[in-house]
Amino acid sequence: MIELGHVTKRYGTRDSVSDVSFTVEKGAFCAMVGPSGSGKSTTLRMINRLIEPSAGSIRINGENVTTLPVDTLRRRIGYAIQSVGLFPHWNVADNIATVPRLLKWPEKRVQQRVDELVKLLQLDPATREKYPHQLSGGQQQRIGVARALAADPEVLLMDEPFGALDPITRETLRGELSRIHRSTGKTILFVTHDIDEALQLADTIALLRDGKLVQYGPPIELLTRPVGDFVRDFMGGGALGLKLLALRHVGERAGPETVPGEPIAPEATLAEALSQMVLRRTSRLPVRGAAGGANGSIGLSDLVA
Amino acid sequence: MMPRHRVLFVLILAVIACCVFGSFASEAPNRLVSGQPILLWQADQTTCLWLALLAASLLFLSFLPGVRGPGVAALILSGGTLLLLIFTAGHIATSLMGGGPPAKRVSLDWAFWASGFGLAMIVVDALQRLRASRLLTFAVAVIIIGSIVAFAWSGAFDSVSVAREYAARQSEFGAALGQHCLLVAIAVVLAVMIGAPLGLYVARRPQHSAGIFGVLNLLQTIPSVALFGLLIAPLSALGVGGIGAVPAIIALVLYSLLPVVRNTEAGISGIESGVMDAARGMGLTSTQILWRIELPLGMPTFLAGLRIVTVQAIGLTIVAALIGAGGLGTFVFLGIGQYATDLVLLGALPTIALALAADFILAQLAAFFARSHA
Repeated sequence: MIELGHVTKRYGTRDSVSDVSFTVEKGAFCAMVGPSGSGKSTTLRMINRLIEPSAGSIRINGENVTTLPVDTLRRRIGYAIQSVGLFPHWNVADNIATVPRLLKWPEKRVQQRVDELVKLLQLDPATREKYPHQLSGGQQQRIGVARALAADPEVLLMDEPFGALDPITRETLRGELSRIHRSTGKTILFVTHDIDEALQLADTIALLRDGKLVQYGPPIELLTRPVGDFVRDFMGGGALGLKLLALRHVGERAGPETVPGEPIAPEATLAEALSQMVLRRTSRLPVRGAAGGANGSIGLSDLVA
Repeated sequence: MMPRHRVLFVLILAVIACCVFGSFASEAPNRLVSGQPILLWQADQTTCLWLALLAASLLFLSFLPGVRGPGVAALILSGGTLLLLIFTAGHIATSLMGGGPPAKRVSLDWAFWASGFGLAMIVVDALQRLRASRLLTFAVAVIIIGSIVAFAWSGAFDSVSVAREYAARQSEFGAALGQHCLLVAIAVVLAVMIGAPLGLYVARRPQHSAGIFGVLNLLQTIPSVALFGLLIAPLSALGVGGIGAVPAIIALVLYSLLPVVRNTEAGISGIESGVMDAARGMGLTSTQILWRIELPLGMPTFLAGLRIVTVQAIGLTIVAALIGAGGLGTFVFLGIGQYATDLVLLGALPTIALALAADFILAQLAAFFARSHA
């Protein structure tokens, strides 16, 4: 759990972050979004005290971050950034083992943990011995995420970790991160300026503007009940309805009626279903066995229900 | 018809021209009068023929297409020609001395030095064209230098005037060489001990860099003789003595500071900002960041600075002889004073060899560090 209470960062007379308060529940995936210069990275970096707040309090699992020695605090928090920052003179295994070694884990346990993470991130075991410059950008960021998870931290801070990757790699890594979040139950605070990324990954969104928290809540709330034009525009403006469809799954709306054709998966989003209807020039799609196991279908009218 | 490989073509033509028209050696009744020039073909016709044959083959090679075959051939032929040239020089000196009076001097003249340099350039060029590995480069250097040392050992050069000067001053030479190396070593170690922390400081506090680099730049612009002179008064006032090894070391350290500080700073500031952000964000202490991240990653740039400083100090130490610090410069200035070129060479040649050796060793070291995390 991460609790921010009236957190402010002042540079000279200007507030870069001003009176921001929100709580990320244990096991939640919170995306901090906002335009450039909205203070989202600054807020993130105040949590592991790479930037010291000017005012306010930050607690992790109830413990005030300023009461801990700064290095101890940081070793308990996973940290992944856009530029990855792998150590170029260490191989992949040594990079992943950074924090466990700082914590003086016995070497055997360190190696076990590296093995686990290589498996968790679905890395080729041969990459263990490679150096960062021998890897693609996507592979490097996988290692970056593995390194952040290495010491099994309570919370994970991620600053636009997929921002520098190509769309396909980014999509794959989002899927991986989602899976890792489900399987490990870590509390994740994730900075991005890409609202679609936030909608796909997060269960809560904190929207910032000019250093202030504008709205905080589940994605559906920001989409359906935006507090003002800025939130509405940022969340997608005219395409708002499509963003809503992207949050719901076919399985939730499918009916028992059967129709011929290639069925779509119940895990597909309603937006994907709509896309298929347009492509196939039909108003009803077959759905592969949902919860009950029997095949069904979904119609255009189900999407708007 | 145009030559395929113009560098080789030009170099070998220059070498041939030097050997045909230039004064290869000079002969004088004693070391003070200027000598009579002697052309290569006047001195030794048989070897001349061999050299001509080798040179002609190299000239022919410059017209051949391809890289690998002609490259390997050029490497072997130029190396062989270089060794033959050096051996011939010794041979000519021996035959010219022939039992003449001990005061008689046979020295090697500019055509020898120029053609030797030209042939060495051909060797280097061939190595580069072949994209030779470090190991091959090293092997070629060992073969050529080893052969020259072996010639010298066997007494092949004993009649050359530089060698005769050496024979006359053997113990002085050993002492001067040792002193020279010691002065350089002390100065470089001190410069690193002062400069590396200063470089670290500048990397941490860039706001102070302008002032510190300003002072260091100013020091570099003072001519070395002037700096040695400038130190005499303040040091005498301190009671250290304005001449001798101490002021020499101080001056050498002052000259060495700028490259050490600048390269230390550049090595550390050049580390990708994401690496530093990640290191801090994961909880490495600043000491751990220094030892595990900054020093290893800054090492290649630092070593490049150390290389500049060492080579520079080896050369500057010559001038230090002016204020009585000793070293190989003693022979250089003694030779200049006596109009004895051979004595100047006795000081200058080992200095050049030292500088080249230091440069080579430190370059290999830097390459080793750079490769470990390309």
